[in-house]
Amino acid sequence: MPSLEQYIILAIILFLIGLFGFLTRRNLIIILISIEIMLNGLIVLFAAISHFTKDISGYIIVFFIIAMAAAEAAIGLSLVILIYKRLRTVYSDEITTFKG
Amino acid sequence: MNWDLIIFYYLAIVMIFSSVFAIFSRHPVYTVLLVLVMIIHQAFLLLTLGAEFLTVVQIIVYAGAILVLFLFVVYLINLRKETKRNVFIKRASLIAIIFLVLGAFLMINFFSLISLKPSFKAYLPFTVEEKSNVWWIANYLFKSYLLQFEIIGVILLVAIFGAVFLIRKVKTFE
Amino acid sequence: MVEKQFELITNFDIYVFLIPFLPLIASVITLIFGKKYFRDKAHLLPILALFFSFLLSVKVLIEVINGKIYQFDIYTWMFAYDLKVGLGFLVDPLSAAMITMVTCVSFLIHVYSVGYMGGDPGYYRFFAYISLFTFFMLMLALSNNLAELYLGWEGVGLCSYLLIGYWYQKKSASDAGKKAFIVCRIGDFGFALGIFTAFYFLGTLYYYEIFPKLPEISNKYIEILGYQVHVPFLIAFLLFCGAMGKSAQFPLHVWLPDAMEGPTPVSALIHAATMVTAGVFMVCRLNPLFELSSAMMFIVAIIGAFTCFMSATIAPTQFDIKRVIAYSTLSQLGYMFMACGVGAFIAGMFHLLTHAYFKALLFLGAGSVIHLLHHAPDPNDIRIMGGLKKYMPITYWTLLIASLSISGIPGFAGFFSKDEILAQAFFSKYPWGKFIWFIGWIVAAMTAFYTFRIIFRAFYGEFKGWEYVHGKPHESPRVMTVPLIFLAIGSIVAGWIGIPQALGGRNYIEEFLVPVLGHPRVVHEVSHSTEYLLMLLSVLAGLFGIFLAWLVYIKKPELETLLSKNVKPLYTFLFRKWYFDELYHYTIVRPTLWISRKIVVAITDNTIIEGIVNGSARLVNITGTGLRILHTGIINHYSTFILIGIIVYLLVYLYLK
Repeated sequence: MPSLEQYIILAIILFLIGLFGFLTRRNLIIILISIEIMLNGLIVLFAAISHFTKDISGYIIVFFIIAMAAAEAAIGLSLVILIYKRLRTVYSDEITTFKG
Repeated sequence: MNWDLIIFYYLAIVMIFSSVFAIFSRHPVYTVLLVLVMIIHQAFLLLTLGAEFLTVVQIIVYAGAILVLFLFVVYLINLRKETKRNVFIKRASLIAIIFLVLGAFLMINFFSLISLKPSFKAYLPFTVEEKSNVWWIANYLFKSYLLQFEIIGVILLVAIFGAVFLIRKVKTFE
Repeated sequence: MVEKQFELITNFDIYVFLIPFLPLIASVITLIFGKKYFRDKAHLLPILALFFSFLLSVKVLIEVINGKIYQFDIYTWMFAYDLKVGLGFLVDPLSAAMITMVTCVSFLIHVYSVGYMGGDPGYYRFFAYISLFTFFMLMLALSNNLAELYLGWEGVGLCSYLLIGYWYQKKSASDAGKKAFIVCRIGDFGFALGIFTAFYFLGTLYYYEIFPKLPEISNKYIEILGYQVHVPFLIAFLLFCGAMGKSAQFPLHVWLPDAMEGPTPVSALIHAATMVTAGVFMVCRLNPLFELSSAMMFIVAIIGAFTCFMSATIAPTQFDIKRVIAYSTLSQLGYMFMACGVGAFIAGMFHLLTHAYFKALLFLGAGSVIHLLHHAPDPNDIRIMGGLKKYMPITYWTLLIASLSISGIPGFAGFFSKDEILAQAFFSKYPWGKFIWFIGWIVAAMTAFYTFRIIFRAFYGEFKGWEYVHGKPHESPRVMTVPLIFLAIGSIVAGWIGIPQALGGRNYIEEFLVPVLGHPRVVHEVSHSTEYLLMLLSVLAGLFGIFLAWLVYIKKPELETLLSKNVKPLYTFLFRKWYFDELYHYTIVRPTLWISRKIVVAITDNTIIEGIVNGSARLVNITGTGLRILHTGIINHYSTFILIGIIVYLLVYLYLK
């Protein structure tokens, strides 16, 4: 049986990969997918802690995270489509309407 | 080396590599498919943690709903022309350095945090042997966490309305 | 006379509460929704509210007549150690009489305004303001403590400002609004100080707690700048400063004539019938305090007499019909203060009530004429009027009733109240009573003269304003004439509640107000024969004034320029309103402007404040230019900054605890 530390390291690595994608990718869809990867890291973390501490709360939180991820994906993707409709692009460095 | 560890390492390595390739891939469709691979492996990882209900939810919701949604959007927005261009934004390396600093920082602190072995004593009888995992989750979800459960339902409803509202047809487009 | 026993009601009474709050609700709703939804229907809600308010105040008045007094707090407004101020109501004979008058006049003027203001772009605004004004006036009248009185006091001042400057596109109107507000502020500052002083010495602001405590301070003196000052005098004087401002008494009277820039219904409601009487009301309300200091009574009487006389001399020289009536308002307010100053509070209050009717009527009648001539460059000028008697019969007759009433012709309201004042001044126990009577008697003749000057110039002779009227001059619409008729009835009947005993009547108003204002302060039993003589004298004075006006303006028009040709300096002196505006301009306005230009602008503004302002702007500019580099507009960069923030926060949290 792998230890809790190994699960946590895996969770952190997943989280960081997602974070890296979130920060550096240009494509807004991939930025959203990166967020999903980060959330998956969290799922692993909570499930592992829940399993090793014999506490059901972690699983419940995982359940909620999945639900939140669904909601977030729905809204995020509709925003992406909206941006694409208006600006004809999905690349974050081409959307510079905030530029000061 | 027992089977538990072998399975764990297999799942972890596949997950890490598929997500890395997903981040670095040039075409969004590959990204989505690689993430699908990662999510299915993660579902099995949850199975090793004794959470068979979550495994099913993970596959149904994530793989079945969310990623399909992503795929649809990728198809909807025709990106074939732009795939030749840069994948990352400019000065991504600078951002990567910052991100690595955080990564190392988080790692170190998490290790120190775990080594504290916080006292998780006050917990409930969580014995998978007597009742199934589904029974326990249902029991807690519909008793102790009922309000949160309802709120999640409302949030999902709002998300549906929001999505419909955002992409409705408005005459002022362009 | 047996003292009436009153039943004190201290419970919350919804009817009393609704009297002021119905107009408030109507006003707020009209103000918020008026522009978009009501537009030319904006009058409905305020008129309805006022009507119910009027009915309720009649109900309350009847209950007060039947021996009830309401005194209750709705809630505690301010509470600090031993200062406790509630938002409460006190309904006693004084305030019941006042609110009935206010709601009645206000209702009629609301109705009149429907005709007068019709088609104005700010229609809803007008009704919202006058409704709000009525609310504040009712709060003032119903207040049960000084702080709440002050709330109403400032509120009516605000509404007065808003309504004088109602046609704010006109420079003169907005200037007049500012002038009214600033001049009133001077008085109100004194009023606020008076409230503070009263609290300092008495420890409470509630009327029913103040009055029992008054004997404690009756012999108290306080040293100010080496002078021993009588404490009741100090309090009363400071409070009276506010009354001088609000009731436009000398030396703070200058704002009232200019206030005529507002719409005529406003002049009628605020600057004649209700708001300007607030000072008199306040003096009556606090009559035990004022009576503690005979020096104060003397000041009240003298200021009243001086204002009365001064404005009566100015009025005949003015050509603006509303200004003439405004000066007559000043003069009549002077009468009321004279009455208060000789201890005849009931007579003052009685005159306040009757005056409200006939003065509102005078203004509205004048407004009816102005409405006819509103295409003229200056519709208020009586020189372009004339001969309107046959074109506007209702306006003519109602205005005539008001003029007879103000001139003190027997049978009309003004006669009874003015005669009451003069008689009680003559018999007063205060030594200056005779002098006050003499001034009042002279002014009575002058009042009749200048009031009938308007009548004769506007309604007799030839009409001179043909070029400003389309077709023939015509009577105002019915929505305007009906309130005139009602007010005319009021101008006659209002006096009958106080027919003096010498004429065989029963002085109801005196019986009604005695519990609050006390018996008139007279030296001995009034002999009826002297009273008849006084009445005769004042009637003769009034008739003489009318006769003089008839002589000058109808019979021998060449007499009109007699004064202005032969005694030019005196005429100019009167025409320029005793040079008060010029005096204030050179002694107060100019030095203030000089100081602000030379010192404030040059040093404070240009160097210090502008240095700080420009310096901070430059600093922001430099910083902004620097930070602009970071502001790329790319969300990845922004999320990186967020990440950096989190890292910094975590570092601080983990290592710098």
